[in-house]
Amino acid sequence: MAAGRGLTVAALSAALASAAGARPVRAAADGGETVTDRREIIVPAKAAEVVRIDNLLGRVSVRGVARPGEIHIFAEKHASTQDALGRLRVHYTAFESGEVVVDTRVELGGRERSLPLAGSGVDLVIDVPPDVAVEAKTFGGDVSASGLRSGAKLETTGGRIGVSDVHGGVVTRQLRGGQRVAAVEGDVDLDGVEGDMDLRNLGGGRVDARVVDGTIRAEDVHSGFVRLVTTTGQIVLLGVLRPGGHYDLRSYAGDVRILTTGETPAFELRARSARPIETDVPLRASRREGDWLRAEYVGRRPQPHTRTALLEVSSVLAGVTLQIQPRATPAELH
Amino acid sequence: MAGCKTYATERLSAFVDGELPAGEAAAVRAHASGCPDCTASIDGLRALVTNARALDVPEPPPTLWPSIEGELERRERFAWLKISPWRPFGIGALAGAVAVAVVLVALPAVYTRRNGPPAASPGAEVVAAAGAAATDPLLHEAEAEFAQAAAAYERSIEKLRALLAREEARWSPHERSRMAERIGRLDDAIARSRELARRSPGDSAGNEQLFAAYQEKIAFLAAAVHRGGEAGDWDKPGGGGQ
Repeated sequence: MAAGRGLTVAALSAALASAAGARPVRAAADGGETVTDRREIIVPAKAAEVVRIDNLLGRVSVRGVARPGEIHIFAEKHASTQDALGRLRVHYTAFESGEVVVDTRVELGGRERSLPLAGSGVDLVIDVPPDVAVEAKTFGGDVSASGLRSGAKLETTGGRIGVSDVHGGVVTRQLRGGQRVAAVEGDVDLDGVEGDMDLRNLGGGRVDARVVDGTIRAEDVHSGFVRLVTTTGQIVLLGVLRPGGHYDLRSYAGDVRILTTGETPAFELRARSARPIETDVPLRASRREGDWLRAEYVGRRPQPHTRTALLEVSSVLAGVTLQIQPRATPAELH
Repeated sequence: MAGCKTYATERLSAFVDGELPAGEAAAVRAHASGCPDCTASIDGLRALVTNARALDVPEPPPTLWPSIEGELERRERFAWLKISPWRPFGIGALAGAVAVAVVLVALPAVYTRRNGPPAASPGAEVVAAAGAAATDPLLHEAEAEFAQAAAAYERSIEKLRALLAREEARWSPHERSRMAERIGRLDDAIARSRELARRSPGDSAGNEQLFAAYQEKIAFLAAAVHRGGEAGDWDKPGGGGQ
């Protein structure tokens, strides 16, 4: 197709429905029968640089475990009838540009469409070489990525998002469902409307997480810039503060709690709270500027050449807690 | 943008597509709120995108859109890894409009090359297919899924409106008036997108546009709630992002 435009394609534009090894089975599920079809295909992708997965019909799990030049696609289709099952399609398209697209469709009225369904679906597990960038989108299904070395962008409307062991930038977009992001070496940009965010062991230069209705809990974040914003939930930041780091933590209606561990560096505090700020930190030079309290912490053993961190902390309708602990007690933070 | 030269049309287009960095987007919003020329330009660009999406076009074969999108994005591949602002489903609205135009041009050629001249008019085939799809239970399933997501967006908007009402009480009449105007524009965009989605059942792109309109309103309201807590400065620079 479109060879004249140099787009490529086609080399392996394969509908998996034609792959060998289909084994339709029947299984009990939720009190009804479900027709299931599982298939696996290994496709060569020597020049793959980015893999884009578009599955509005179910879940997507991407793992950076495949050998270079190969992509493994495990597809499981499920439906209440054989007819509905036969109308679910999985397509794989490789472009000469290095882009690989995997997408799912349902046949409606003689045409294939990318649509979410309640009673039928396709779940994908895709193993890719670790060094390819990944973009994955679902509608109601969970989406996860692990073991990647060139970043990931994950989008879902109603599924959960999971990221672990990823190097490179991570971008997420979600309506609801919650997000868990762990062990990322790269910038992180998370956006959600409903659902809690759990962030652990992040080491990029920047962490930016925003949610309207949900709690953000961040532990062991080593980035130089950390912005966590929620409208109705809580913010909990646990772990070591980085010298010279900039922490912008804001909740409109929920508490903001910072529990630092280890050697806490000197920091400048700007805080606003509906209640008196709870802290065991020996702050000095405290003064008020409108609704805001400004103060400084010089550290237990002041060192003149250590860069000062900046903590901007705000809770318009609730409280702010700032504590330094030799060791955190995570159970208390939930 | 006949009078104002602050932002080039390309920047405003990128703003409409949600492709500007958060800081620059906030600056554009702040500027546009006081600049009728730029407001008119932005509205015009949005209308262009909306009208382009409203065109009735046959759904392309599944490999065509990835081909076009891959070509459009080939030169900027991996740019999103540098932390981009919200870009719903990875497809810029203006790019979508361009793609629609390309599809309109390309489809007849593709069909002709593959299948030879059609025996009946393509329009008749499309109408017949649409009629068959309209009665398909799977289509109703899909529409129900989209409706549930839309309801979730509406609930979040209602929550934010309730919080914002608390802050608005502290604002001046002028500030409240400007807020109402901005929200009215966002509501208009949602209404237009909803109508487009309603007219194109089974078209995920139409619903994606509707969800993008919801997301824009939610981001605006959340920013207004947070910054409204700072004595009504919801529309100061930096107040456009959540």
